[in-house]
Amino acid sequence: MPCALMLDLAEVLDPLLDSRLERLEDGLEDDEEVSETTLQLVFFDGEEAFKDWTDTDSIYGAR
Amino acid sequence: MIDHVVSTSTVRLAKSKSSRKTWNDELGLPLVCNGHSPYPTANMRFVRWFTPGWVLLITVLVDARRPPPLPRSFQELSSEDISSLVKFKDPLKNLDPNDPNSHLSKILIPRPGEYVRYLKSITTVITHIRHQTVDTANNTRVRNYIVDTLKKLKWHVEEDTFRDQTPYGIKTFTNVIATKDPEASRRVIVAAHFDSKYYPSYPENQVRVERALWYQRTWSADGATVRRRYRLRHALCSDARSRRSFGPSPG
Repeated sequence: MPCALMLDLAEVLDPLLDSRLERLEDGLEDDEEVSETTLQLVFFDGEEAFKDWTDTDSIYGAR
Repeated sequence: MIDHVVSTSTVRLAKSKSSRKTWNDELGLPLVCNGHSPYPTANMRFVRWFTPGWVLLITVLVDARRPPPLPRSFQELSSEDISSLVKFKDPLKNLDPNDPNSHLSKILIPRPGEYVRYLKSITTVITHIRHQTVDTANNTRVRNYIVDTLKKLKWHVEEDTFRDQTPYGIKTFTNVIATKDPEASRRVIVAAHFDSKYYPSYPENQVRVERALWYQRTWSADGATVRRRYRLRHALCSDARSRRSFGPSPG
């Protein structure tokens, strides 16, 4: 469910991020912090434990 | 009431004058009433002190010491912004489990242990179940769907593959990291895990969320129908279309 939401987020924001980049390049928007910030999506593998949740049997991907 | 208590105690006092002092002469009140002190215990006194009035006063005082809320700086949207917001694709469409093309339908697939058939002898086919959800065909399918979707948007997609020791031996894992602009120095990161919980056998190894969604849909639809019928029956709903679909309310 969160992964589907994230894919939707990427699809919705992609054209908006493109148009923001255009505005920045055209000098219509000038915010250093904003211009240096991008969106990154991370999809971790092996979060769930195979047996019972322990320090070694969980979050393999995000560790 | 107080007269009654005092008089009872007076009688008692009269009866047991010699035993113990049960009367406070200064206050003119009994010390003991029916074997118990008629006065509130320490806890009771505490409770009585904190009457709602006091609590309210303290709350007001504490509230007065709180700094005033900062003014909110919401940007006013232009009509152009609003119309572009309206044009967004409905996010719920991508979360519709009934739509086979929704993101959710592509991701919400069971990932049971992989069945690997091999010939042990000419006549025997042994089915060997590899216990896993990561490192399975469907988990790879989900990962590929995520990667393909983001590559279509021309995002920079990195697949970080590694091996790790698990209770079922060494497994291969792959994280997916997608970045809109890999050159940017700052990133807003949204993260989730795409693997599914491992269960060794059927039906636990099937998708639970899907079943939960089905229950939720069924129950909530049913609840809405019941409520609507109730409202119609009690003439609380004047929606002509609902009346047609549910028929005239009896009575």
